[in-house]
Amino acid sequence: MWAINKEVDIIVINLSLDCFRRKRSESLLRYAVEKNIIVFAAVPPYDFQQHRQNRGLFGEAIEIYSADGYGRPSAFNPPAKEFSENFTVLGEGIYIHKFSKEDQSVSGSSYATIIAAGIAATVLHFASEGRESSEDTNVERKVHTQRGMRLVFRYMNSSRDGKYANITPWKLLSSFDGPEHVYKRLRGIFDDSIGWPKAKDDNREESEYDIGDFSDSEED
Amino acid sequence: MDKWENECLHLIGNLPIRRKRRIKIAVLDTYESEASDSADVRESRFKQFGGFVQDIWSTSRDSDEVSEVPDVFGSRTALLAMMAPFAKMYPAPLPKEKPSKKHADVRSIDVLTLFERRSLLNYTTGTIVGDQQGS
Repeated sequence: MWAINKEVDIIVINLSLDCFRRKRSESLLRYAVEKNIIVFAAVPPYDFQQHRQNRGLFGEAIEIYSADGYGRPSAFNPPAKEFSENFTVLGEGIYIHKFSKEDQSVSGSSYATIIAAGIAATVLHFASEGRESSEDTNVERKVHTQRGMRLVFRYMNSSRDGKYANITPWKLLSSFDGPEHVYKRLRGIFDDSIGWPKAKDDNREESEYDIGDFSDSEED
Repeated sequence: MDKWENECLHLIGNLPIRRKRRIKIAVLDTYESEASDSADVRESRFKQFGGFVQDIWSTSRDSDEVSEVPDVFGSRTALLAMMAPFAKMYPAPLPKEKPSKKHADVRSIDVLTLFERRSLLNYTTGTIVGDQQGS
């Protein structure tokens, strides 16, 4: 609730079930998603019992699995869900070094989830910049929903694996293109997707924006 | 060198970011336990802190030094600062009792520009390499 009150754009949850109050967290997550906060949750390492329990717990969140540098799912991932995107992001061989310490290679879905959140933040940033230049709020509002961000992540999928979708941000973002180009790509993603309101409906004032139209129910 | 090193590092270092809108990110993380800690120990640490605790608190847990440059980043937070240099990150509320004096009392990290990000990374660096090691 603290994070929701802060009106954050993104929440990253790197908690496992044994340190997370289940009932309260379920309703809070649902509330956060309704408030258009994008919620990411790390899928815990393979532990069948825990994974089954967490499945319900983080149902509202975009769950992130780990992958290696080639986009191959990590061996410590739990089994992929059926009928779900099962997004994987780099989560192996990430070098961290701190004061007076030798480089340390870390791995895990919690690191992958952090990188996913960074990607999402960058996407939000570009959607915002595009909006300011074109006075068009459609794309930013759509991408700032759980469902919209899932669509953007699907676009960045470079995997041919049917079970996992490996996220490669350079499919959308480019250091050579300006925000306007990224914004156009984002617009294309939503234009091509099914179930979004038509363009003329998107010109509503922000206060009339109906979260119900963009709810995430279709996804899961 | 793999795709992530080639593509992502280049990408993040060269994104045409203009500082116009601030993205707010909350990282809810547990106290960063030692790998050898049992589940009971982790749980007790969580109860001790009474709720969400961001791993910012754990950064210098095994260091006796309090540096002038706040060693405020947990490894995951450092990584996020690198990934989203324009983001304002909120650590969770401070627990009533500070864990110890070696934990920095910093309530928010404000990484504004790419330049600042790079200077921060001189001290605490999350480098996205993604080598081909197995798990």
